[in-house]
Amino acid sequence: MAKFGVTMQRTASTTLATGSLTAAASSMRRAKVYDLMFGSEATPADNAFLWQVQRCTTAGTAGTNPTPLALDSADSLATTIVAGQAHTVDPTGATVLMSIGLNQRATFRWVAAPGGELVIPATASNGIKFETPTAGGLVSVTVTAHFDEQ
Amino acid sequence: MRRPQGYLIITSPYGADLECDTFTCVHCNTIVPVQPAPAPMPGGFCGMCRSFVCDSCADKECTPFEKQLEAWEAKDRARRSMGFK
Ligand SMILES: [Zn+2]
Ligand SMILES: [Zn+2]
Repeated sequence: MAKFGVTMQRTASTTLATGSLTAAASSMRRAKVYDLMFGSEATPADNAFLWQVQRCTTAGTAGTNPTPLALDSADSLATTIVAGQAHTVDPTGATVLMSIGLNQRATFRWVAAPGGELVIPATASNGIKFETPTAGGLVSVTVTAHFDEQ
Repeated sequence: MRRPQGYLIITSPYGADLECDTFTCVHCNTIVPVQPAPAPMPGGFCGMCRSFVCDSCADKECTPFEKQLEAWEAKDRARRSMGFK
């Protein structure tokens, strides 16, 4: 069980994911997401955002694939979980696991207690995605996620 | 709430931070924020799982999330064994 952190970023879109964490296409393992942070690094402005965490059954097409970094440098890189950001094809799925309305100036953090994590199944390309179905300003937004590879 | 399963914090330039406990639906894995009492407790409670469930899982039959995970994973293994990707 090794812990990893990854930051996913895009210019906000109301239809395309900011980021996704999905099981790899082979050697899949479960992962438990236990820490999430949402926010915008753009020039402060009063824009309404709705952030959602949704379950997905495909990885879609990511603009790029940021590399999850081991929180303990003694752990090796996670290859069982794939991170994606700035998707051009949205991952399939719309089951909402968390929904938070947020001013662009605000930041959000959720931390799970043991047993309360969001679980990514050991199923190829299944996982979770981070969406902004409401984005009052199409500005740069960032999600940071920490997960525990099982 | 007693024994919360998570905690959320919204930091805003306007006023104090907003903080509350969360629980994670034992049937669908949804994160549910819980406002402090006297606000009513959202969702429901599954006596079989002995844990909280979200609004949309309340009053439905017991379908533990762990069982659903196992079903998804088994289906994926079956597809692969038949040569599908
Ligand atoms: Zn539920
Ligand atoms: Zn139950």
